[in-house]
Amino acid sequence: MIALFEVAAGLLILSGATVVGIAGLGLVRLPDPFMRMHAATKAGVVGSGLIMLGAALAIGSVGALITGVLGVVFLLATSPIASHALGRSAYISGAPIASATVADALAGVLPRDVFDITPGRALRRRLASPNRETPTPSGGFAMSAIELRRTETPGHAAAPLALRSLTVWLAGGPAQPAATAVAFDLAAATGARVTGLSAIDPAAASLRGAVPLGGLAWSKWAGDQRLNRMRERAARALAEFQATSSEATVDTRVRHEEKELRELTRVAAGTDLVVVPADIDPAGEPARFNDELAARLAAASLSPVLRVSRRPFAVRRIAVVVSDTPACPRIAAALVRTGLWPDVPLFLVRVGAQREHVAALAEEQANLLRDHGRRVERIIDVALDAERGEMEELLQGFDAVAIGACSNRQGWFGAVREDFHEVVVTRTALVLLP
Amino acid sequence: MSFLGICVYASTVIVATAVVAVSWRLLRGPSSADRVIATDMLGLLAICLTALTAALTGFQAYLDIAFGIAIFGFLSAVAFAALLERASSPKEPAE
Repeated sequence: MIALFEVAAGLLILSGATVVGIAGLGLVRLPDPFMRMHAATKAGVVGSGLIMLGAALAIGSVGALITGVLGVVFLLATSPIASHALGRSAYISGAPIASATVADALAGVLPRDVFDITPGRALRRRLASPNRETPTPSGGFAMSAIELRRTETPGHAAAPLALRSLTVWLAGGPAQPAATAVAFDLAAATGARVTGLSAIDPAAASLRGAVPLGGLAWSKWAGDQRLNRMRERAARALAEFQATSSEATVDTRVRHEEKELRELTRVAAGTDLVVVPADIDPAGEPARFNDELAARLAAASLSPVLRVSRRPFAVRRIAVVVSDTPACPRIAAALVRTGLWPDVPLFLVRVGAQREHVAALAEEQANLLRDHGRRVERIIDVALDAERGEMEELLQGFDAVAIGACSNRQGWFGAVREDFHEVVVTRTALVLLP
Repeated sequence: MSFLGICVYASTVIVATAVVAVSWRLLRGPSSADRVIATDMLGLLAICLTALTAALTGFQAYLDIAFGIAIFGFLSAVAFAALLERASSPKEPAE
């Protein structure tokens, strides 16, 4: 009987040690921290539990057995908690994920740092194209864009520059599928590289304005709720983006960033065009005109913004709206530089053409467009005080509009408001903001 | 030497090898998450070694020591996780 106990104890100890040895091997050989943790906690707990039981059997007293069983129960109860906490912190600290991992279900749900040894987190890199640039860390994006324009020799100035890379802002909202689809259409037409940027600004989630009495307690809670909603929306948009990219033959990359909006615009600045879904603010909530994400990005004026509210059937006519918003002198340049829709006729719309500087500006823009081989079909004049219905009629049949701003306020404290911009924004599918 | 003795000595050798392997991972990294995981695993290995000592010497007190090490290992794992999470939260610059 005692011999039987001894044999059982020996076998338990030996098998436990074997499991622990395999766990140690796994800790050395497995490719990423998450797999290593799987080896360490699961196998380690089973191994040390078996060894404790074996030792208790080997001693053989009742007290030893009680201690051994208690120890095993304690290990089984605590190790899931410990490993869960460790895995969560490993994910947040940006521990690298091995390329064998199929999907990152936590993308957009938890914040994630960039681990410094492997820059960037391009999860899936396939569809190798021969002239792919090497991925640059975030600081280098703006530099590469400037260099790209500098290599353009004066002799080639007449040829339109091609769209090399574009960024889709994955923020969710009703227009997100259209924005993703338009981005992939453009990329398929020009061979540009698509970067899906699921960007979240944690500051946008916090509630601004007055807080009622005793509200500080729940305003933080509400801010957290908003942040979680933003992450969920971004994750949904990201999943959609990845589903689309797996079907399309386009070079795609995915980035996730959580920074202030100013930093985020800088991240997107290296690309030639930023595609943004319409009618949402930086927090992903519904917004109008000046508060929109597209308007905010365009105000940063780092790269042209394409605001997508729905996916047009085909782009047949483009309106170029010239008024006197600050961004107006850049409209034609943005059209030429991005090389969007090179063969589509342009209609130059002058708002308030009786004012001299608008007329001069329109002339300048038309000349620039003609110099670059664009077809300026007609020049349309619109009075400053045109009725809303008139403008809606005018905009019939335009699939895309290049305009200086989503909404324009002038005069003292923005007293004069030109609602031409707002008609444009609500009526047309694609709005290019330089 | 009895069957139990052979088993315990063999197990000690295996666990010692695992200690070497885990220490290598602890020194090597590369990320701090790896090091924390290796530290956690070292705690489990310490439990194993203490339990093996109990089986070798026949002192029941060593099992109680193993139990204590298990408690400290759990606490240290949770504390390390909280530290790692706070060190890399987006509000503060990462270490």
